[in-house]
Amino acid sequence: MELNTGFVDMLENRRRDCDFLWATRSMDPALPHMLPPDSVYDRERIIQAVLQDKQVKAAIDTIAKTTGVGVKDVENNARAMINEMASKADLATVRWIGIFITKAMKRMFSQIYINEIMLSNLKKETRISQAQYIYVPSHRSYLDFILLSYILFSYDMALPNIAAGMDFYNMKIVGELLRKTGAFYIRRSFSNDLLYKQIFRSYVNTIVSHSDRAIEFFIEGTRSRSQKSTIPKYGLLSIIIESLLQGDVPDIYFVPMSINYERPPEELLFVYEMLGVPKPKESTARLFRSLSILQKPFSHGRIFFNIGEPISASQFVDKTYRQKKVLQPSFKIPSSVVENIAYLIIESHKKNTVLMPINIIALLLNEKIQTKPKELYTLDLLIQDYQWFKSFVTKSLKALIYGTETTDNDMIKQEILESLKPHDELIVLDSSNTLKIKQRHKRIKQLNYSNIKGYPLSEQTLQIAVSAINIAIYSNPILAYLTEIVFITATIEENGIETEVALERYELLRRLFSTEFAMRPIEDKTLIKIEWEKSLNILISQNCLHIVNNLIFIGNNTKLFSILHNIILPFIDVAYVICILLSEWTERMSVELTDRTILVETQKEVERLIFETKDRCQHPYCLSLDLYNTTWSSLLSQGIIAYQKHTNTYQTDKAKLTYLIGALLELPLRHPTETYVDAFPLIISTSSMDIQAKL
Amino acid sequence: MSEQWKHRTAAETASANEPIEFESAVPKIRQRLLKWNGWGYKDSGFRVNDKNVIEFTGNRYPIGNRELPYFTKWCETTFDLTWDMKCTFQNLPKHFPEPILSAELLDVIKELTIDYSIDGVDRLFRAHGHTVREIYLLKHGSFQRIPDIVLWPKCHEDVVKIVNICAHYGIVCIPFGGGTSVSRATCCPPDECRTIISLDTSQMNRILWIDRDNLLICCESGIIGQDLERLLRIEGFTCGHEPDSYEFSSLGGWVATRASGMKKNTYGNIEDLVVRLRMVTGRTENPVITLERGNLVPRVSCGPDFDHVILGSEGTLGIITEIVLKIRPLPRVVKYGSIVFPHFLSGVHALREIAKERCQPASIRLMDNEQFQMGQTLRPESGWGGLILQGLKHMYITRIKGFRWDQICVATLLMEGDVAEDIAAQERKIYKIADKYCGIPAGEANGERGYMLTFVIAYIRDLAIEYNVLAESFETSVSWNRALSLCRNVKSRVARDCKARDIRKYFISCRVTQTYDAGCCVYFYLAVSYSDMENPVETYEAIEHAAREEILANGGSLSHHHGVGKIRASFYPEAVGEAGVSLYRATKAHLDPHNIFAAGNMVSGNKSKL
Ligand SMILES: Cc1cc2nc3c(=O)[nH]c(=O)nc-3n(C[C@H](O)[C@H](O)[C@H](O)COP(=O)(O)OP(=O)(O)OC[C@H]3O[C@@H](n4cnc5c(N)ncnc54)[C@H](O)[C@@H]3O)c2cc1C
Repeated sequence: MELNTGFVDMLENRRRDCDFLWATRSMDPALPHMLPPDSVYDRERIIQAVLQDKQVKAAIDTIAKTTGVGVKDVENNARAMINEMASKADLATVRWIGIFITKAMKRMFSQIYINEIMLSNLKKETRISQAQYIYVPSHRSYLDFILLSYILFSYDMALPNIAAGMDFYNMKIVGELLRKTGAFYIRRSFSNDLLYKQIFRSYVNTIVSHSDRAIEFFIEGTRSRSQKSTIPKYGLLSIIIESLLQGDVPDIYFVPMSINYERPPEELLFVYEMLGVPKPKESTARLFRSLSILQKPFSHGRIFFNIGEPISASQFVDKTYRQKKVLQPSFKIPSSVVENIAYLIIESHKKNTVLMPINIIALLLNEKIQTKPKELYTLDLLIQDYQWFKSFVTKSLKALIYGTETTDNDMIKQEILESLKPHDELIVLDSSNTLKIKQRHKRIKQLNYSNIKGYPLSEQTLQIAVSAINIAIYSNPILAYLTEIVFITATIEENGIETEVALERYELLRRLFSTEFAMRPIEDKTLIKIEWEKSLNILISQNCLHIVNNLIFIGNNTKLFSILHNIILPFIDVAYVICILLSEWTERMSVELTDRTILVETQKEVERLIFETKDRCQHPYCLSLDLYNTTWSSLLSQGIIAYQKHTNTYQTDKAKLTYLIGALLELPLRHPTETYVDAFPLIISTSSMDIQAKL
Repeated sequence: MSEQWKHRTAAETASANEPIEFESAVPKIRQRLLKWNGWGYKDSGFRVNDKNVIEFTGNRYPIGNRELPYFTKWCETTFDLTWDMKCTFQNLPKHFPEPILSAELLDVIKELTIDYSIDGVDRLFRAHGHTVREIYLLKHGSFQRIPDIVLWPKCHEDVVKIVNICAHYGIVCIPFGGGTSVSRATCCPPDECRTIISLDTSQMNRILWIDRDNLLICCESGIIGQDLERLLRIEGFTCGHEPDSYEFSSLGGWVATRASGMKKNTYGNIEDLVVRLRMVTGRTENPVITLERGNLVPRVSCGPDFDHVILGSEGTLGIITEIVLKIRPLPRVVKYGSIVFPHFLSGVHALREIAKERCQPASIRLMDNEQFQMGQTLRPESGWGGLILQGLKHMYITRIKGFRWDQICVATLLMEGDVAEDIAAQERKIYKIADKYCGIPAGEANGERGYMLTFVIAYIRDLAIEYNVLAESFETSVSWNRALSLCRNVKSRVARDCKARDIRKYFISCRVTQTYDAGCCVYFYLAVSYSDMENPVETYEAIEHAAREEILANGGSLSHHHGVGKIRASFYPEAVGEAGVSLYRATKAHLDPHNIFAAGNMVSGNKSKL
C-alpha cells in the first residue's frame, strides 16, 4: 500500500520556530482519561491508595508474621517501594527537557513522520467517554519512549505514565528527570517478593483507574535487537486488564504503535548483542552521547511512527467474566484472554509497520551476496530489483511503504539514494556506482571474556558477521509481512509435493518458529490452514508456485522464490543444528546441558560450520544468540526438552527429537552454492575511509 | 357526593367492618380523564406556548400554570432543539383490529353479567403500558395485537367465573391494573390467535375491612394508590407505599411486579407490606383454584412461602384478587431536607454510611450532577426564590467551599416521625455523617421541591417525543462497593454507543433512590435525540439493551422493581439460572395448565400442557 496520506513530518514545523518559544508555549495538555475531578488522584493520593490497599496490607501483615519483622518496618519498606515506583507529572520539567530533545531530534533525524490522522482520531476518541488508554508501542530502541513523549508533547497531549526499567532509575539525575516526565519504575524480577508484587499490582490498578494520564508500556518487554516483533509479555498487561474485570474502569483501549527507524541509534550495539558481545550498561553519559548533537546531522535518517486502531479490551473481558468476578472475587481472567489481546497488539504492530527503502535494499543485497556475489550490483540493477520487489510487497502483501508510486527511474533512484544516506557507514556506492558493504567491525582491543554471552568468536568471524547481521537487521522489518510466505517456500519440492504434506510441513515450521517471529500460537488446524492458504495463494498469484492435481510445484518466478527461501534458511539451519547438538550432547559435550551452554555450543558449532563446510549454516545470521534462545524456548514448550526442577537439569525427549530432526531433514532446502565467507570479500568496500564504530 | 359525606360513610362502614365502596379518582372509562396516548391527566402536561416558552398546564401539580424559562433553555441546549421542530401525533384512531370473538363466547360473557366492552378505544387503552416503544406507537404507529374484549369484574368470584370460561373456551386473559407497567408486561403477544380478554381490575377496588388493632387493611387488588392513601388518611392511617406511579398504579399491579415505594425505609417494599394474598389460578379442573394461605399472621415457617410465587408473577400465573396489607398511623411530623455534596462520589459514600448506621429517613435520594442541573431548571421565573441553594448562598458553596457547579450533587431527605425532637435528632445524625463527606445541609425547601417534582417528571416524556427526543428510565440494584463504578460505566457505555450510532445529542443521568444494608437502587434517565433516524425506537432500545448488559457486567440486577416483562425477558435465564427457569416453567405449567395467562412475560412461548 502506498502511503502518502496521514503522514506528516513533525520536524518540519520544529525547524521553523524557536525551540525555546515552542517548548514554553502556553498549552493545556489533553488528558486522555476523562475522569471526574474527584476521581483523579495525584501522586500522594495514589501512594496512599496503594498503602491502604487491602491486599497490600495483608501482604505486610503476612511478612511481618512470617519474618518476625515489625509491622512498622515492613510498612516503611512498602512506603519506600512505592516511592521508588510512582511517577510524577511535571510539565515544567517536560518543557525543559523538550528543548534538548527537540534539538537532538532535529539534529539526528531528517524527518519524523507521524500518522497525524490517527493521532487526531485518537485525541478525539478520548473525548467520548471515560475510558483509560494504554499506549503500546513496538520496542526497537531506547528512543521509543522519548520519541512518543516528544510526539505527544508536540501535539499538546499529556505524557503518559511510562513503565520503565530500573536501569533508568539508577542513572544519575536522569532517573528523577524521567520520573517527572511520567516514568514509573519496575524492578527486574520480583516474582518472589510478595510485598513488591502486591504494591506493583495495586499501583498499576490505581493508575489505570485514577490517573487522568494514559499508561505506556512495551509489550515486547525489551528492545528487539533484530528489529522485528518479539513475543509479548503478559505480566503488566494482565494486571491492567484486571482493572477492567473488576469494573474499575468502563473500558481500556490499547493503542498499538509501530515505530520503524531508518537507522536506530543502537544499530551496531544491537549487532554485537546478537552475537553475544556484552551490552554496555546504560549510563547517563552513554545515553547522552547517543542523543548527542555532536553527531553528524541527520545521521539517523527518518522515523515512521504509525498508530493502529485502538483495541477495546471490553470486547474480550466480556460480561460473563465480569459477572463471575462479582460472584467469586478470587476469579482470574483466563490467560487465553490476555494472550489474545497481546497478540492482537503484536499483529497490529506488524501490519502497521511502515517500511522504508533501506529495508528492501538490505534484503536485495543480502540475496545478491548469497546468489550472485561475482556479479556487480550496480545502482541500475538495484533500481530494477527494487522497483520489482517493492511492487510485490505493496501490492501482494499490502505492506505499507514510504515513497511515491512511480515507475520513473530517476525518482526511484532518488528514493534509494535518500534511504542510503544515513547508512554510509554500512553501504556505499563506489566510483563505478556499484554497491559495496563497508567493514563495520572494529577490532576489539581488550575482550573481557567473562562478559561474553556465547562462544568467543574469532576476529575473522566478527569481520564478516558484524556487517552481515547489520544488513540483516534492516531486512528484518519486512518479515512483519513475509513470515507465513517464507515458511511455505521451505516446504515445496522441485518435482511437486502433495498439498497435505506441504501443510504439515508448514505447521511444523510455524510451531518451531512462532516464538522467533512472534506469531500467535494456534492449535486449531483449520485456522492454520486458512492462514496457509492465504499465503499460498499469494505465491501462486506471483507465479512462485503452481498447483496441478493436488501437487504443488515451484513456478517460473524463481527469482522471488529464491529471495523468500533464502530468508528462512538461516532459521531452519540453526534449529537443525541445535537438534543435532542435543541428540549428540552426552557423547560430544563435556559440559552439562543448560540454557547457557546450549548457546555457547551452538555458536561454536555454527562458527565451525561457516568455515569448514559448505552446506548448512552458511549465513552469518546463524551466529545470532537470539535465534538459539527462541529455538530453545520453542523446544521447551513442545516438550522436546524438559526442565527437571529437582535436579536443576534439562532432559531431552529422544523420540520427539528424532522425529523433529527427521522432519527437518525432509525439508527440501536449497542452500546457495556460493558460501557467504567466500562471497563477502567480493562485495566489501576496500576504500580506505576510516571506519568509525559508533556507540 | 361531597368528600365529607363519603368520609362519614366510609368511617361508618369501616367500623361495621363492611366493605367500603367509593368512587375512584380515575373513572372506569379512563380516557375521559386520562390521556389516551401519553402519561397522566389530560389537563396536565408540558407544552410550548406562543412565546416559545415551556409551561405546565393545569393546577394539579405545584408548577402548574407557570412558565418555565430555565427549563426551556435547558431543553434547547441539551438537545439542540428549536421549537419549530414540533411534530404532530396521529389522532385517536377510528378503526381498530376486528376483535377475535365468537358470537357464542360473547353470549356466554353477557350471561355472566360482568361489565364488558368491545369498544376500540377501551381495548386500545389496555393494550399497552408506558415504555418508550408503546408510547411511540400510540403517537406514530399501531399495535400488532390489542385485547379483543375488556372485562370489569367486581369481586373475587367474578374473577373465578372469568377464569373458568377462559379454560373452557381456550381464551387468554391478561390482568390489567393501572396500566403503568414499564416492561411491556401488559401488551399482547402479537402472535396470539386466541381471544384475548383484558381483565381490568379497576372496578374491583373495595376496601374489604380495616383492622385497627393489628394495623391491617384488606383490599381488592384493583384499588389504585391515590385512592388507597386518600381513604386511609381520612382514617388516620397510611400504607406508606408510594411508587412514583402511585396516582394510577394498582395494588394488584404492585404485587404482580414486586413494586417498591419511595418511603420503603420506613414502610418496606411491597413484599414487606403484604400479609396475605389471594390469587385465582388457572387450575380449573381442581375444586379449589385460589392460591392463598390459611391464616392471618405476621410470619410463618411453613415450608416455601408461596406468596413469593404470587409476588412478581407479572400476570402469568393467575389473577390477584385480594390483599391484606400492613398500615401505620399517619406520622404527625413530616420534614424535608437536602444536602449538597461536592461530587457524586462523596454523596454515595455518605449514603453508604447513613445506611450502615441505619439512620436512613423515610426516603433519601441522591441525584447526580446532570439531574441536579436539570432539576434546577424546573422552576418558574419567580416564586421559588433564588436557586435551589436557597438558604445557602451560591457563593458560599462555590467560592468558600470550592464546590464546582458542574460536579455538585444533591441528596433529598424525607423524614417522618411523631415528635419533632426525634426528627431533629435523626437529622443531626444524618448531617453529621454528611459532614464527613463534605456535605452541606441545603435546606428544607430544596428537599420538598425535589419530592414534589417526582410526579411531574413523568410528564416530560410526552413533550420530548413532540420534539424528536425519546426518553425512558431504567433501574437496577447493586452492592455498595460497585455502585459508583456501575454508574460511571453505564454512562460511559451509553456515551460510546450514542457516538457509534452518530447520535449527537443525548442525556444520561442517574440517581440513587433507595439504600439497603448491602447496596442500593440506582435509577437512570436516558434521553436520545433522533431527528432523522430511521428506527428511533429500535435504536433507543438497542442502547438501553447495551446499558443493561453493562449493568449486569458490573454486578447490577436485572431489575430492582420494574420487573422483567417482555423488554428484559432475554436476560431472565441468566438472572435466575437454568434451574430457576425450569422451576418457573414447572410452576407455570402447574398453576396455569391451559396457558390462560399468556401475557408471555419473563419466559415467552409457554406452551399449554393440553
Ligand atoms: C411514571 C412511572 C413511575 C413509576 N414509578 C415506580 C416506582 O416508583 N416503583 C415501582 O415499583 N414501580 C414504578 N413504576 C412501574 C409501575 O408503576 C409498577 O410496575 C406498578 O407496580 C404497576 O402497577 P399497575 O397497577 O399499573 O400494573 P399494570 O401496569 O396494569 O400491570 C403490570 C403487570 O402486573 C400484572 N397485573 C396487574 N394487576 C394484576 C392482578 N390483579 N393480578 C395479577 N397480575 C396483575 C399485569 O398483567 C402486568 O403484567 C413506575 C411507572 C411509571 C410509568
